[in-house]
Amino acid sequence: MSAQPEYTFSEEQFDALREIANIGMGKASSALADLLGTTILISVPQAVCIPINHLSDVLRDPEAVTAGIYLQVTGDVPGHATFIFEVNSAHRLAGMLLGLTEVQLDEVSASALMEVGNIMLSAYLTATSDFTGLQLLPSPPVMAIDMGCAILSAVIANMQNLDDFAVTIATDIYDPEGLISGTFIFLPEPGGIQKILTAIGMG
Amino acid sequence: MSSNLTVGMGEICVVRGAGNVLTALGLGSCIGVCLYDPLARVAGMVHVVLPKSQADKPGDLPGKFADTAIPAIVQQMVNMGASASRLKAAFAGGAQLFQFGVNNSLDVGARNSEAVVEALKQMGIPLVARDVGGSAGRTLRLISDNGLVVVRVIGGNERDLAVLGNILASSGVAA
Repeated sequence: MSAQPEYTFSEEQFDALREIANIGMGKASSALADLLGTTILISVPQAVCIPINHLSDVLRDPEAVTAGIYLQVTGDVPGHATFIFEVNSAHRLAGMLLGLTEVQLDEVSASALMEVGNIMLSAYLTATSDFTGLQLLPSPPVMAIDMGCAILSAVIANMQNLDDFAVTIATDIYDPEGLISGTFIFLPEPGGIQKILTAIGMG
Repeated sequence: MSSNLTVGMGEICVVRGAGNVLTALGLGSCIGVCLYDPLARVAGMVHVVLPKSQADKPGDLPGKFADTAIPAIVQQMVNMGASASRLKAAFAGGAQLFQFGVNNSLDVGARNSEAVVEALKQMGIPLVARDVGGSAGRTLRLISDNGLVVVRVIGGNERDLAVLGNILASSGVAA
């Protein structure tokens, strides 16, 4: 197996990562709430190190059709951020943004959804930057409609250093009416987590 | 013993006997490679993520990379009683999922597909069928009874890609 030490992080260290993710996702969800004029809730973030062959387990239904918005993160903690929305949620989200009741997933609605991803990720990264003093920058988003696990695997294939284990930070986002439901997944490149922990004095 | 196994990213699954189903869910740019020996009834599937292994990282799962995955799965199948000379292959995947927005990343799917073809050629394993490219993820199943390979894309029905057992049976007669 891999010689990477990442799966040897202590529970306290994972707790710290969850707390940072919680702050970041709090900002991201309130950015989305402002955009939509509705309440957006988040689950307690998961921060785990899992073998890549079990990565799709972070999704509730890996084979469900989803809209995946994928952004690369550059700077001090390079990584890969993906928002995976269940496809009906994606329709509703795009509809709310465009002020339409019926939405086709075409170039226009895709660009609206990608903008959602952009705004949320920027809020998440800014919060993480403020907390750690590290620089994290988003790249332009790309989007696909497909099975959640297919989208995740395409993201994984974009990693520069693919270890057998991946530190995965995942949070569910949803609204009280159950109209919008999605999952945010951040996969830092190997070594990135160590930088975050060092920056907050838990390295 | 029969089982229904899911083959995750970088994973190699090898089974012997009838009644087993190997499944790779939602192959995006990844490739699911099916190998089958009908005489020994040994079936194998590997979920390849990237084309080439990084030489400086010896600890990696061999199944992640096309160039290490094919030799590794063949070895595991031989250990289970298969003969390398009887193996036939089919594979699916290698799509380019992200269609919307700026896509400056290299087409990993296409490179994966080429790398699998090359790795099979080096091992001398005939490639019976493949279903690659496009922009849709695929779910791939291999039925151990007869080496039936089935592919499904989202919103579509399952369709038969190949029967690895049949083809070998006929070429066996000719030999």
